[in-house]
Amino acid sequence: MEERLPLTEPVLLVLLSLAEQPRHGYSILKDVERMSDGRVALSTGTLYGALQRLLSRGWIERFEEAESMRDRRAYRLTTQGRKILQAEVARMKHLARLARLRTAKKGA
Amino acid sequence: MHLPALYRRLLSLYPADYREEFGDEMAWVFQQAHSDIRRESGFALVIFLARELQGVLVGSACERARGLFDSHTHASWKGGSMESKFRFPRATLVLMLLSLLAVVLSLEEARVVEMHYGNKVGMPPEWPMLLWIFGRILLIALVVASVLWGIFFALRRSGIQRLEQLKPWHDQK
Repeated sequence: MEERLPLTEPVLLVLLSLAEQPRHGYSILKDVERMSDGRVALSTGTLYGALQRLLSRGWIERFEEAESMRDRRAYRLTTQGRKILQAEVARMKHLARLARLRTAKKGA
Repeated sequence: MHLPALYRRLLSLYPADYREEFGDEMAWVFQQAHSDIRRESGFALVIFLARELQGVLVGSACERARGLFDSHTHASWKGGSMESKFRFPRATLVLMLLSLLAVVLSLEEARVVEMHYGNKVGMPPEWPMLLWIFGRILLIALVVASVLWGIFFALRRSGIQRLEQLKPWHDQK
């Protein structure tokens, strides 16, 4: 699993968006922009490139909602995707702790 | 022509199976994003269009490249396992072109050497010509290395290594 880490920022944000709840493509796009305070604005092509890679890795899955049209299918995180996300968050926490320790020593 | 319709036209840059899988969704997402951005300034619209154009150009080029080198990826989007055990990877086409390039370069190299040193036996070659020849030899080595890598890649992708795992029919019973 670790060989897939670190995740790129857009992929991490897409996974975080889907960690909260299943979403449609447009909802993911807006949520990523909101989470990054407008810093990461994905194009439709970039978003679907990322979604296609995540689907092929089995980290997310697509499903048809009742009364949903073909152009509004939704995506959700799989168990494997959630594990990857947790591993990435743990890695980032470790790095942040390390950085805090090292910079604190430097300042003292 | 309206921009969403133009965007749908641009989607034809993607491979057909990708378009079939994601085309409708992408067109719908673009339409939503476009109707949002129209309420903002003209500059925001320009930035949005530039980003979308870049997304389609880069995305379609990546998908085309992936289709060339990784012919089984597309089946895995749909969750089905459509991989055949023995297949003819499209990378083999690239390998054949590289092989042809190596042969043409080698023939050209032989012709240059023959032309310059064919009637100068025993004469030391001049430095610029030596550098030129070394450069070409390096290029040929690079092409040959690519061909060798391609052969291993094609063999691995063709699934030939699975032959060792095959059991005789009577053992499977």
